[in-house]
Amino acid sequence: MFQLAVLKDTIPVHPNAFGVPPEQALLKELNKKYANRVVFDVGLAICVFDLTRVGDGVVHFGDGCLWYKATFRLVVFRPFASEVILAKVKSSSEDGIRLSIGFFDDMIIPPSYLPSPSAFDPNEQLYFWNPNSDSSHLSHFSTHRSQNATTSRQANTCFHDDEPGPPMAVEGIAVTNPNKRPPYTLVCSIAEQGLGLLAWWDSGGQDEEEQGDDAMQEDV
Amino acid sequence: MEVLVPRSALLSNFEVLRLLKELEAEQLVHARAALVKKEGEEADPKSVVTALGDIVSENMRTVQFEVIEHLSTPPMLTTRQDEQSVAQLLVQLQVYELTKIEKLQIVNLLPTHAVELYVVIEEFEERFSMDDMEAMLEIVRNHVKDSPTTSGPDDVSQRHSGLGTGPEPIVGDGHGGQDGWEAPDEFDELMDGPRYGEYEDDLGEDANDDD
Repeated sequence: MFQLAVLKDTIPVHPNAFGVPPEQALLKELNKKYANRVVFDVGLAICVFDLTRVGDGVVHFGDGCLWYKATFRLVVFRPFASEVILAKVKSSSEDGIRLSIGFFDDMIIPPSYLPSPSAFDPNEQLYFWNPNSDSSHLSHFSTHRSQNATTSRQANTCFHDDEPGPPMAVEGIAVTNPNKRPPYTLVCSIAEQGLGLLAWWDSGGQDEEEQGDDAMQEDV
Repeated sequence: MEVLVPRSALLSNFEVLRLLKELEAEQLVHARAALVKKEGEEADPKSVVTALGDIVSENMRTVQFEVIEHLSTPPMLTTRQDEQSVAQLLVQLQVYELTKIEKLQIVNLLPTHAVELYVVIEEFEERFSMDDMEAMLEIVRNHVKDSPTTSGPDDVSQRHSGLGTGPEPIVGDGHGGQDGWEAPDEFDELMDGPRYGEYEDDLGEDANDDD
């Protein structure tokens, strides 16, 4: 799920931090800048792993900060293609099921990537999967169960770099862009044997394992 | 800002959890030291938390907390691993020809049932037999501890001086210049995939990240 990325950046250290060792100040500034933010095409930055190389601090005209050119490694969250992830079901809608892993919420399973005989129940706003031909055995993708952990295979990664742009005003009132896309989305699939709610595949789940014919194989 | 290498190494969940817990411990030490300097005496937990807020940014604390929580709650089994168990798991899996990402997923997900193993390993029937499968599952089961290991660092004070130099990642080589923990030499042979920088070539069929 996690990778290391090597980045280079120029970081200012404010004079009130001159008393601490420069590595410490730099790490603090780097973590402040990158933690919990999406770096385009790299992933969700978690924290700095280490500093590889740091140049001397240089003072620029105009402010008193010491500017350091630093090369460092960053721990990023970015599952590789077709990696299997364990996540919790956060919500369901007609557009798909949303999964969450605590620090990252934008994982979607679109309806096309659900196991074969599944349908959406608008009354309960839940998806259900019908592994047997009769309707007596329904498994819901429920958000209310305590054990709703799901394994899913990562199919697609989408990075969006939406610049906010200059503020627009219509009739004197500021307009904010209503279509805010999350900067980093993962599209996942549970259409294989072994994927989906953990409860389905526990040693007691013999029914599901027999439904080999129904499970789709996704080629990603 | 420039991205030099978008993907220089893969990290297992265990390594990330350990790194974050060590970071947390160091931050607490700093917070307490800062308080002592300010107030001249040991202070109660509440003011330590406020001092922590001054030292570490909000975003950092949030993501740190969330990641640690995600990796520590069952059904994630990351807390049941420690350094030796992960190393030995990899050593014992060397017998089988597994790609780098298959090994990484096995370390992360710790499959104990056949179905879970099928999901992780591609084209299982063609490459391995049922006996191999049983053996692999047995190896994994042997290397999961029964109860969570306290993965707190034993040598926080020692790491205090080496601030920011993290241990080398297990699943890939790192650059030199680290004061911290050096990966034992066996690791080089363990991951017989490519090393740092040569990463892109040997990921197996599915892992081409051509977005």
